[in-house]
Amino acid sequence: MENPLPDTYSKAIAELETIVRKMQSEDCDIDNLAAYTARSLALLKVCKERLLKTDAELQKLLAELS
Amino acid sequence: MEQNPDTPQAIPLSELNRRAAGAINTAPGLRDQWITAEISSFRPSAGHLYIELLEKDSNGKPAARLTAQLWRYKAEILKKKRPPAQMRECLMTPGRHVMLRGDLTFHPVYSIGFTITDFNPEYSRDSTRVQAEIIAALQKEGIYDRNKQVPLPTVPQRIAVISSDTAAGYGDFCGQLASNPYGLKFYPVLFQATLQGPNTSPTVRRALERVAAHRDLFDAAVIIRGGGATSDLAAFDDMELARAVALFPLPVLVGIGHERDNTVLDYIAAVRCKTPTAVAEWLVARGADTLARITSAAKNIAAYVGSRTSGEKRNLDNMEQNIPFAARNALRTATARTERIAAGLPGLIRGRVESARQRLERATRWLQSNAPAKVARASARLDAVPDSLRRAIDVALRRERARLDALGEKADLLSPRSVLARGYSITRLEGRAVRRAAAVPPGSRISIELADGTLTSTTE
Repeated sequence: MENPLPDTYSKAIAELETIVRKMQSEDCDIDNLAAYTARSLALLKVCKERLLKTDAELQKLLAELS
Repeated sequence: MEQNPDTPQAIPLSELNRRAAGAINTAPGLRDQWITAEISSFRPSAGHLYIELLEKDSNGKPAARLTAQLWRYKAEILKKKRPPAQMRECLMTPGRHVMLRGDLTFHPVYSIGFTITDFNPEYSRDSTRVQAEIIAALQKEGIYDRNKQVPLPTVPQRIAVISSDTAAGYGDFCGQLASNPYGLKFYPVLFQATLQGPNTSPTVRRALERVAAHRDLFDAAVIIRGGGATSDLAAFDDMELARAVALFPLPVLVGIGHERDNTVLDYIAAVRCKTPTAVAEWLVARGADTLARITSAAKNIAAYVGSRTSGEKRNLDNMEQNIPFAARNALRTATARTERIAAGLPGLIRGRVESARQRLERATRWLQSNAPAKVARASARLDAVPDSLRRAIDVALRRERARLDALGEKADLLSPRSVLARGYSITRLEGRAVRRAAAVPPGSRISIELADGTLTSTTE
């Protein structure tokens, strides 16, 4: 798993769905579980913030265009 | 005739119409006026041309109707200016959008109508044909599909909106984005342009250029216009504008508010929606869809982790409970076996000794009972046998007898009765024979079996 968080939704979703698949395959042992869970929580957090929280910086920046 | 005083004062129809004619034919803005409309139907009659004019709203429903007429004498004048073929194409094609010049007149007999004096052949183009020409040109340049191939972000949130802030569409559009039911955040920015008339193409292109200069700040560009007459849409069927949209570096979404009529941009833009509202709904749906995918992946992960960890915990609990049980079991089984073997040994040994002794006793008894008879019989037979033989047999017999006697003695000696009779005793502790003094602690109750009875005693 790469460490930096992905910059697009499609990459984040792809990674999340990969984690789901890995967890459901029998290869996943208990130690990996902790790492995958942590990573997926980080991905979720980033995506939900972008979708649901106002980015004030961005708003300011765009306001300057008008 | 007598008039009933309650009868209202009525004027004849002709008087009414005369009054209307007077008002309408002198009102400002109705004479020598250019209008745009769609040709609904036409009917030539005696050299005159009667045309039903129509205007449709953005839902395709009639918003205005009027009868127009091109009188024969006016047509003759017009033919000097406009080729007949052009006249036919523009005025005698249902569905064609036209620009007409004339006067609104009210005739007492023929009622209200628009008297045509001229038309604009430039305006009256076949929009389908114009669009087809533009599309063909762009395909030849190889750019017709270009905008549709620009990668569309999963959720376009930063939106450059090309519209007019006076247009109905823009306010509704922003309102829909701001108050969507999922709480999704969008960032629309207005780039002003004119959305009808001859200034449409240049202003929209200028706005597109401005957006392109800041393309890193946006995920998509949106061109929206709500309402307006369908005939205004012709302004968007422009080659330069079409090319600008085709080559635009961001995906272009168009929602130029109309249900049934297209502009050429509808074929070229990355996403086509019918109205500005539909564009907003499309954007919100993209966000909602992504949110749903993320949520369901999260649920799957949580459920899986939950079941894995509770499964592992159950395993551990099971093992924890089973270990003592399993160990105890193993221990018990081993102990029981050992005890069984230990318990069996004395018996085994005694049994063996006993059976050997019994065999010996049987042999002895048999011999004791049978041997004399046998010896006697043999002896009798011997009498018939020569002396030396007899003597040899005798010796042999005597040897056998001696052996038997010895065996008998031994058996006798070994039998507990004779052992006891000789003075030996069997000392027992807790019912078991004692062989070693060291096995008897002081103060023990022991029993002593003699040949004729048993004593009890306490050791010192």
